[in-house]
Amino acid sequence: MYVRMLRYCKGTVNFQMYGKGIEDCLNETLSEGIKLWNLKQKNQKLYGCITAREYRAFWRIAHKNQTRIHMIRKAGVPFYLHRFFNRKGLVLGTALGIICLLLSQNFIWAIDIHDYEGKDREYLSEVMENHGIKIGAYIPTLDFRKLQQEILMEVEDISWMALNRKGTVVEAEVSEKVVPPDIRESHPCNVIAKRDGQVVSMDVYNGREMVELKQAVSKGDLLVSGILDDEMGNVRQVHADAKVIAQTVRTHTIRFHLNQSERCFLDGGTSRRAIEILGVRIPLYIDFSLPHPSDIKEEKEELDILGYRYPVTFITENHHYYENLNTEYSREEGREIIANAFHIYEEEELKSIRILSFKDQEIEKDGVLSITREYLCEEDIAVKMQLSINE
Amino acid sequence: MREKKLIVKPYTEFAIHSPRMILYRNQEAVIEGCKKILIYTDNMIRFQTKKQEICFYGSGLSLKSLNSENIIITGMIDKIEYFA
Repeated sequence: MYVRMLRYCKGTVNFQMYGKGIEDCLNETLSEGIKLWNLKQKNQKLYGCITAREYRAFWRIAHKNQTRIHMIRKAGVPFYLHRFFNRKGLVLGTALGIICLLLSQNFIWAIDIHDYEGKDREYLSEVMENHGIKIGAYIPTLDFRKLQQEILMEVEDISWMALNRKGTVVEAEVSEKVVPPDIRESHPCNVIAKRDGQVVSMDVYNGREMVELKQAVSKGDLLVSGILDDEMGNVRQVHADAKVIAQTVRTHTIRFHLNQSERCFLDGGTSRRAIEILGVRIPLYIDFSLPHPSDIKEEKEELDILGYRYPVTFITENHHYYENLNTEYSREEGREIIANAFHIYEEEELKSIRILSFKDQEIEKDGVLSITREYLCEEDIAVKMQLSINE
Repeated sequence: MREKKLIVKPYTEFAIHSPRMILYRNQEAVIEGCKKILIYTDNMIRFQTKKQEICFYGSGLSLKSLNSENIIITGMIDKIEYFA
């Protein structure tokens, strides 16, 4: 079995031999140290086998001894490979494929971020990319230990990070920062004003009130003190808490260009495909021109075979055509649009504030309509400020 | 009583250089020390060793292996003859 395998690896030639000096030829072959096997006589002809490497020498001996020799069959690895040597494209392609495969091991194929349900996963990816950790990056130039420290310093909402390389995949394990509450319920604190205003009502739950009703206060003024002293002169620090409603003034300005260039989306559009290999984008289309300007939305699909990710991404670019239309708005229309914007602002930003009245001031300059609204509001201006121990 | 001494005979030149022949029934023969093939047909293989010629007779005789160390003959061996 092993002998047969070895012979197959070396390559074998089945030959046919006839003529005068068969015996002389065999004797010379013996003396040269050439091995033959399966020699059989049939119809005055000798059939046998020889290794491919020794066949040339054997042929020379046979020729010298006036014996004719013919190759009947050749088999084995060298002959099998020889077939492919004539197909240069195939050989070149295989060689290139192997080289590419070996070289590609030095590049990042995929990046996985674990345990990060954070608000801004894209931001983390962007920071990593800025530090050179991106698909297609050359791994030997990356110092992961140093980079993880740099990223940790830059991204504020993570407390710990580890960059592990598993083959061509970089796994980023992240621990989110748990921000403790600013002031714990047990800590002593004061209550100060967060805005300028006039105090309308005060509900002090703990602490000593430092202002009176209808008193004007500025931002940062002490409203309720967390330091209490009794008749015996003992000083006690408490967690001051209060709801201080004050009349405040807020202003907000919204500007609107009366000459607007607007996108008017058309019904038509087109889809184009591209492929991204190791971060290099290859468009799968020839005609780059588009009949109209377009808004592009991309759908990306990463190549995933049996749970293994590869650095190949199929991209579909959905182009939605639009036309730029110049619209000129009248002052009335502008005012209406701004009024709507103010409505949205009040709904979203001032929802916890009671608006008593407002006053608009309108200015139009260089085609820009600007309205500044001054609100008179009632709101809770109390904010807690921690007392330091020395205080 | 005298003990018998075990006498080990050293290898002689005869033992090293003389051809050695191993027969597996009458179907296979391994011959070492073959110098030359004199006649090779389907029914007879005659070859030269150092000091004598050996001839195998039979039917369907073939050389399973032929190299400088040994020769393996297969087939139905009917007769072996030695020629001085």
